[in-house]
Amino acid sequence: MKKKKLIYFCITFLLLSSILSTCSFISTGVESLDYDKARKSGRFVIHKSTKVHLYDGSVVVYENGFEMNNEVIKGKGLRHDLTRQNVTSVALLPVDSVASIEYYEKNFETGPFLTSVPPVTVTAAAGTAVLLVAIFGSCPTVYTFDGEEYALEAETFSYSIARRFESTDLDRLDFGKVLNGKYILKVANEALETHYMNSMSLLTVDHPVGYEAFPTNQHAIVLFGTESEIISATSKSGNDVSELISARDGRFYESDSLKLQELTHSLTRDWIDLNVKIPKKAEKMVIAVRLRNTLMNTVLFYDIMLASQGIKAIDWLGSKTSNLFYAWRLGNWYKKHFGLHIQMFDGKEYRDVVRIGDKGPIAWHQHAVEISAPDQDVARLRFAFLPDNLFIDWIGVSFETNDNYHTKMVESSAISDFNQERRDGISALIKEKDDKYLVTYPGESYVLEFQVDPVSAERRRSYFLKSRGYYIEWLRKEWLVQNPGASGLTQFELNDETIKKTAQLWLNKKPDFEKAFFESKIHLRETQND
Amino acid sequence: MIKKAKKALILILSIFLFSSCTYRSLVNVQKSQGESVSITISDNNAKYDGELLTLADSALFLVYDAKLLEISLSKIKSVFVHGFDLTNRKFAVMIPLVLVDALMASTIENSAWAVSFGALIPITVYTFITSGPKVSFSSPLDNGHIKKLNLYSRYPQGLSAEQWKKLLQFYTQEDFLTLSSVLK
Repeated sequence: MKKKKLIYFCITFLLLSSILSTCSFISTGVESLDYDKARKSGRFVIHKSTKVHLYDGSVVVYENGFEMNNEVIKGKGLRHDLTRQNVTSVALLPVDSVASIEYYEKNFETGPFLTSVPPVTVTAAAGTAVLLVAIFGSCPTVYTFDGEEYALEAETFSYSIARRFESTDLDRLDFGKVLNGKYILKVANEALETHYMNSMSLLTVDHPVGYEAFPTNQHAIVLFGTESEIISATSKSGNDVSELISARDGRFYESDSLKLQELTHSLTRDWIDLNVKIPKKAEKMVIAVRLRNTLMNTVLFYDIMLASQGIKAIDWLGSKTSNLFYAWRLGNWYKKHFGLHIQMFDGKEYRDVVRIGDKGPIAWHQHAVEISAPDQDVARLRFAFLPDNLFIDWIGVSFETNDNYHTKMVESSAISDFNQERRDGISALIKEKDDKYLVTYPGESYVLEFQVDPVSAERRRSYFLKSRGYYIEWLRKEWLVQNPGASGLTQFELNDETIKKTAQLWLNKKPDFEKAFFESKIHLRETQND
Repeated sequence: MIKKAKKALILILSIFLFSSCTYRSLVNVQKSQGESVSITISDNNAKYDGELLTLADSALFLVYDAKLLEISLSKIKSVFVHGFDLTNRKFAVMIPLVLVDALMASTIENSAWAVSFGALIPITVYTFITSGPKVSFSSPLDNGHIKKLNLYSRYPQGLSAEQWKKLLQFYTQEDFLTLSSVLK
């Protein structure tokens, strides 16, 4: 882990150095040396390139400067005569022969440097914009097998709605069991979508007992130790929500409809305020959450982004989202408004510390972030989000973490399709990030087996699915025949009005949409064993 | 449109890549000669390029076309010093920066950021244009100008009559050329 951190540090350092070197502007100027003052100082040393002009018209060039006292100049110089035709080397030069001295000064240009930092940073960010992820939908669902049945565990790369948004996802798997040294999971396409799976591996994390492993924003692992007692947890309305968010029990916090109504006419956020006592000498704190999206994002995707554009949605999905800058803007806009914004009170106001992106509406997701513990007795945290965009089942805080864990990436050892036929050739398609994809269509599923080593008795093992890919939503006939502007928006725009319109639509559709969404799940084409 | 945008982005990124090593002075600090200058004459805008030898109270001396040329300061419209000039390099860096600022100002959603990037454009242009050493001098050339320009000359200390004589002999001249003798 330390090695990994060192590598990340080196890469970050190199990137920053490259950016800064791009912005370093150095000019050379020539200045006159106050010769009399230097001479009177007794001993004078200069390390810059210098030219000493003599009364006889010759010049002595000192590439690396010289040392001077009352009588002589000492240094390695080259003397050029009056006509500059003859050159001789000089070690000592009487100061009485000197008429004037000039030196070359390298100047760092602060103004150009400062003005170049924002655009250079933006350009560097645009270069990596392909890593930014955006929105919604259903995406591949993942089930794990415990020997008797498959349990829904995760929805992978649920925000990668086009190739430009292809991204990596790390999901913790809790229910699966190792059977005869094999960990088995099923990946399914249960929506009207085409899934493009680039890579899919099982990540095992062996860590000390007493800790729990969580995925982080950087698709890394953080260990969560003893959970700290929460002093208080109150909603924006002032209600005590401690019981709702203190355990992973399916009793969760959700925004009330008044807050959603408020969002229809002004951009506002709902939040949970949490106070946690900070142990003395605590340096780091790990904040873990279990959450799930409501279908508000899906309404935004289906009704605003796609249906409101009518036939233009094809172009939007196909080519507009491929535009690097549009993708950057879309990701920027989305990150600004959506997701869980974790803030900390700094004595004056709550300030954003870290953001956890949206995770999808189908499965509960567990995620953690590690931040520096403030130098206070109590951490005042705020978990802010768009009203009715998230269900929050659990928020845990621990001041104990540990780097003593071992990770291992396991590739699938056997794959069978929905007809229960061995399809081991597929392994090559999802082995690593490349230009080869496993493409699946609605109703298709694959069972993946992973051969895992036994875990030692004194350690505990957590399982994660690391996946990468994207999906394309099938455009419904009713969306394509929709008259653009029917939803009140002439076209999908990246602005505040879109959020308000989404809230209004979600408010109108909510009672029926949830039921319809989950009922519209595509049945898997599976051959059952007798 | 998308292809054009992609090409534009690649172009901007490429310019950044190349410009990362441009705005650094390439002044030769070891040469014994004076700097190469361009002198523009007031009367006819004629331009004389050569090595700057020295400036006296009333005249500037130049090696022009391998001959020593004396030009009265009163006839000079402007002097431009080439060796320390960074104009091309400054523009090579400034233009892509301004393009990115303009692109951000026109596309970014957050109005505060958009305004900030827009405001950055004139600031960027101003800081780039005014950065670096002074290399352009216009008439009237006062003592301050003469002192500064002499730092770029071969003989900032000036020469005695005897030394000028030796130099004229070296250039196979009996006297200095004047503007009238090299009229353009």
